[in-house]
Amino acid sequence: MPNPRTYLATGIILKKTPFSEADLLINMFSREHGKLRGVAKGAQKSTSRMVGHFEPLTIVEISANKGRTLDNINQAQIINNLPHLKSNLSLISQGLYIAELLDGFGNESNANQHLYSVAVDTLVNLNTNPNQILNLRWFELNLLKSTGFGIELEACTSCNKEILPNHHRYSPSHGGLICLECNLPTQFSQPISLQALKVFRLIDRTHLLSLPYLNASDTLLREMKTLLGSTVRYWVDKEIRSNAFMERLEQLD
Amino acid sequence: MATDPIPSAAPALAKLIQELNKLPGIGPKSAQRLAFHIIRLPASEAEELSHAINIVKTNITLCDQCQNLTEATPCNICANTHRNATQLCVVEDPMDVLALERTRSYQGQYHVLHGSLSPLNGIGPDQLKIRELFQRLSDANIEELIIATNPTLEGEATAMYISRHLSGQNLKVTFLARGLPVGGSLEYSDDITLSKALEGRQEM
Repeated sequence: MPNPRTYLATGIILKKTPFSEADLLINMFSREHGKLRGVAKGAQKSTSRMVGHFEPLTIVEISANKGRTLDNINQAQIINNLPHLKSNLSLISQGLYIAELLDGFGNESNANQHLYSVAVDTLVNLNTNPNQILNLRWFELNLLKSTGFGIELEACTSCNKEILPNHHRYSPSHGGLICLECNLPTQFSQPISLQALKVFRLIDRTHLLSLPYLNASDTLLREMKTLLGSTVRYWVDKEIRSNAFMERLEQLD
Repeated sequence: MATDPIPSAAPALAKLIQELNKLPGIGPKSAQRLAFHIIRLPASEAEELSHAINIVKTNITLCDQCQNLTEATPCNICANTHRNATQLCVVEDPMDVLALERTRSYQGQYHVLHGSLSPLNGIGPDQLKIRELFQRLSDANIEELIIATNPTLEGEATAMYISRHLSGQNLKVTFLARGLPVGGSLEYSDDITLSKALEGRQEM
């Protein structure tokens, strides 16, 4: 008879923290249960059967027992280790940004299979196709969509009228575009170029693997990053720590 | 995890349990056991323990050169003229220096970073002793830099950050080998460890 206290889960390791003498406290974002926290006993020991399985940004399948406060992870198998991503510092920083957003937007014990697929697709594409410059923008836009904060890119979020070219601003707090007639104070909105809007619409209706390789200018890339970054920060309502590291690496390049 | 003092215990005992409970890996039960052990110790031994803690807090400082914990700067390792001053081994923690010294296989100098890059925890290059490392590399005549950070994502990221900064310089930068642990088994090894072990295979 199956033990109801034991369960299987597939997910992305978000974080590992040393716990007790040789254990690890694992935070993962799973397909079946949303955010999970569990203890892997003895996983810090170099001879542990689970050593190396809980590095952040690894996609693993685990078997765990429900505990009173924390679950006990007793088996783990790597599904995808994302080796190319982990051998490139810039890609690691992008992967950690994804992990931090999953931690911020994910709910404990509440599965969000669409968000899980979006995260896995982005990480796998970063691993195999790092030249796609829209990887993170596609993730941010779809993260917002999967968690109920999708951005309105066609009509005014205030009056619901169709947006006319160059007759709009962008407001993270309103969840998308605002027409100029609605006259939202500038501290709550920011300009958005027509080019950026067109790319957002393209990302919104295209899967990551089908996205074309854009030859976008640095200015346009920075604008899109700023707009989506401010939206994500607005809804997660805390500082995104990995962003600072990512920007520092960009300055190094 | 610190707990509230035990209401029925004598205040001094409750305070000791509370303080011991703050130590890493010490839970409430262990803290109680340690506290009762200390009570049963002869006064001289308890005094020695308390004295040792005080001495550590007042005398231990960081070595100006390697950033390792020491009582005098430069530390014994940096001041030892018999060691190879052209080799520098970068480690995350002072405990890693002890581990490498136990092997008796390395005779060069060290540099302790005091952690590894962990953007999710807000630990960036400025929170580590990386600036001191670059300063040391520009001042001293180092021929080989051995990066011995842990084979974790954070450790690898730290190693990549350092080597990216040093690219183009006339300096040999090496990493510790990655592979199977002695006493481990192939069956339970993860893919990346096995592939690293295959990459680093040696002729017998």
